[in-house]
Parts: sequence; C-alpha cells; structure tokens
Amino acid sequence: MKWQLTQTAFDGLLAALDPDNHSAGEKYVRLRGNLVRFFEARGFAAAGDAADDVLNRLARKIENGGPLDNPASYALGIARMVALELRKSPLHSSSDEIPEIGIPARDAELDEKEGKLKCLGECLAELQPENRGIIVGYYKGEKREKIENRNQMAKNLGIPQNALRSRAVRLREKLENCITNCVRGL
Amino acid sequence: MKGLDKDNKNAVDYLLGDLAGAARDEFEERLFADDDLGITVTATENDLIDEYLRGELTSDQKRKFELNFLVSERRREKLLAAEVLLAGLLHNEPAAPDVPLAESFWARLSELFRLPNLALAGGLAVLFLILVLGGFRLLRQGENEIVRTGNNQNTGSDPDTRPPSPAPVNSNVVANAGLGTEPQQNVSPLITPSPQTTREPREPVSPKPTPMPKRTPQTGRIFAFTLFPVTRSSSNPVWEIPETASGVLLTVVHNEETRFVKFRAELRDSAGGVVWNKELPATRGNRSKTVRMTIESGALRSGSYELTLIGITPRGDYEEINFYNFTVKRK
Repeated sequence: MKWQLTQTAFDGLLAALDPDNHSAGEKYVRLRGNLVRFFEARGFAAAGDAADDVLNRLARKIENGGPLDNPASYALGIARMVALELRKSPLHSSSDEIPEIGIPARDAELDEKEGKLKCLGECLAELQPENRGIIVGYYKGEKREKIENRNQMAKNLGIPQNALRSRAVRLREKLENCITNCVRGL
Repeated sequence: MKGLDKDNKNAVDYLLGDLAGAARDEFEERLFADDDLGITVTATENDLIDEYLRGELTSDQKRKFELNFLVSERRREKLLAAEVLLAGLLHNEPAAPDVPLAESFWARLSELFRLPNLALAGGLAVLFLILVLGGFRLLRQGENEIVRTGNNQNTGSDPDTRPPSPAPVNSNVVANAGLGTEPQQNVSPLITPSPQTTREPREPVSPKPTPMPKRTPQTGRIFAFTLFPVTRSSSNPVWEIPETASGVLLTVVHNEETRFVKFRAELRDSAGGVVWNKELPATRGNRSKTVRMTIESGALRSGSYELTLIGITPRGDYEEINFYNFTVKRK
C-alpha cells in the first residue's frame, strides 16, 4: 500500500525546515518551487506532481528517521531518484507530448481582453499603492532602459538591488496568481 | 539578455535548457542551498517571459523558450498572466514574438563588435584569456594532487607499517581488519555520474567531465566494516580510519527479500550532499542478504554519514531498503 502524507508527517517536515512556523512555511514554498523547476528543467510536464512526490518522500524519511541536517539538499537527492523513476515510467509525459502553447490568436483574444484587464484591475487594487508603484516601475521599459529604471528605483527606495528584485518577484507572483485565478473564472 | 552577471547567465541557460550534465548538477546544488539564487532564477524567469512576449529574444532563445521552457502548465499560466500584466501595466500591447528567424551567426558576431559593444567584447576577450590561463593552472595543480594520492596509497599498502585495525565501537559494527589487497576491482572516480544525467529525454548524452585519476595500482590498505540494520537499542557506530587507508570495504546487511537485480548505495555527509554513490550487482545465490562495496578513502572525512541502500527491481524501479548512519574519525 502506498504511503500517504499525514498531518503529523507534514508537521514534521515543516519543523525540519525551520523551528519557526512562518519561516518553515516560506522555506517549504521555496523548496517546492525549486523542485518544480528541477523537473521542468528535465522536460517533465507534470513537474508539480513530481515535486509533491519528493516532498512526500522527504516527509516520510523525516517521520521515520528524525530530522535531517539539510532537508533541502536531501530533497535534491530524492528528486534525482524520482526523475530517474519517472523517465522509466510508461506514464511519463515529456515536453515532446505537450500541445502547442495556448496563446490564442489575437482576433479570438479580443473578446477576452476586456475581462482580462478587469481582472488585472481587481488584482492591482489588492496591492498597497506603494507596491503598485514598485511593480509598475520594475517592469517598465525595455532592455537597457529597464535596467536603468531598476537601478534608479533601488536608489529612490534606499534599498539594494537584491532587495528590490526580491520584492518585485514576490509582488509579481502574487499578481500572477490572482490574475490566473480570475481569468480562469471568466 | 545582455550585461548579465554569471548567476543570471547560468539562470538563463538553466531555464532555456542550455545547462546540462555536471554544470546543471552544480547549479542545482547551489539553487537548493542559496535563497538568493532562487530569487535570481525566479526574476530571470519573469524577465525571459517578458522578453519573449516583447519579441526581444534571439531566434535561438525563442526556439529554446518554446521547446524547453514552456514545458509545464505552471509556466504556460505564467506566460498568460504576464501577457495580461504587460498589456495592462504598461498600457502597451505586448508585441507578438516576431524575431527574424534568419539571424545569422555572423550578424550576431558583427553586432557584438559594433562600437557601443566594443568595450564589452574586449572585456570578454580578457576575461576569456584569464579563465583559460587560470583553468590551465588548476589542471596542473590537479595532476599533482592525483599523483600525491597515488603515492599515499602505495605507502599505506606497506604491510610492515600497518597500524592496528580499527576497533569496533558499537555492537552493530564489525571491523574485520586492515586488508592488504583490494577484493573488488574498483577504481571508479569518487562520485559516478548519476544515472539521470546520462538518460536525459532531450539532451545528447554527455557524461560528467569528472577527471579520472591515473590508474595507479590499488594496493593500499583497506579497512573492512559491516553495517547491520539499525535497531532501537543501537547507536551510530564510530569508525576510526587512518589517513593512510586507501579504502573501506563495507558489507551492508539488510532484511529485504532477494528480489532485487541490482542495488544502489548513496553515501551522504551531514549536510545531505552525496559524497559517493555506486550501483552494485546483486549476489546470486547468496542467502545472507548482504551487499558489499568498496568506498574510496578520499570520500570519507571526519564527520557523520548516512548510507542509503536502494534496491533496483527487474522492472527498473528504485526502492529504498534501509538507511545506515555512522561516524568517521580520521586519524
């Protein structure tokens, strides 16, 4: 019988990532993101499912054998093994089997455009005005102009480039999730 | 994607599927350990999507983006969300990706040497020269170290200078003796290429460029230990291994039924990093449920280790059999 993730095992995984609940949650999200990218880099369409499988195995390992010194690094090792298993599985779907990317033709998109922009408006409204300014400014301009914009923004805000980038990444992630959920409901 | 530092460049390569083999493994090790690099990769992912939508990628990058990047539902959703974002935030309809397909190598090369980029090209040339000279020097140093290792092993094999064999500290370890000869042919590099690196779905097979040590006779002293499955009452064994030892012959006892055609052993240090791994054939007709392996001495420094024994079924499935923890003290 296949092992199922239990609440106790999940709590154990979080505790192994960090004793502080909030930090553990953040580390969990980061670790899952890295695992998803790991499988995407190998052309696995169901990268999210594979990442969850790794996290389940990690939780099981922690439940059985106690905390690990470096759970993230251990997860990477498990991911390599899972990738190996998936490649041998007849159910494996590689990028070759993925249909063409679903960007609709411009004409067909016109009907949806209004709805999408409405979604964007609603999602932007959920951000603080300062954060709206950051997301607009960070992605404004093209090529060199964009880089110069970002340098200037970091100076104006009095924060290092890395901190600005980190904020922009988090804000964009929030916006993208909001837009994706909203557009799905159209 | 010009003017990027090394991490950004690696992130672009990683996301577009240009990073393979050892370089990709190394990048991923860092990615899982360094939060800043994770943010860099996410930021680069966003920038790549924007540049794709604006038609700013080169034709080669565009092809790789569509082939290697847009593999998952997550990334395709990101692309669609970014399209809305760009269209709305900047009040500027993003251009459909429309990059001339016939952009030649020479056109790109001549673009590099256009006046505004001349300083960049010169800088790259100097950097390249430094890297080549530095790499040559490192290679020379590496050769010397390998030779030294070989000498140490040979010295250690002298039976007259053998130290006493390490005493077992725990009941679940049996230190057999310092053996003078190598019972198995084993001159593999420290870490063999992980199986997945040689079976990529879309990449050409590219074995890890692990430098192979010169084949010096493996006549160094071997120390033998036996690991049993952990019981509640047992604690981790401690092995004292002299610096002059050339390897450890390890017998691992397990409780699994003998249905595996092969085994895989993975040795991790306390940080969780794999320091050694090897696939081992199952011993036919052996009812003792043991797996024997020789671990090169260089893989074992002072510290805590965990050995994972994985069974490989005839169908090629991998199943974790057991975990064995032990501590090494080099003296």
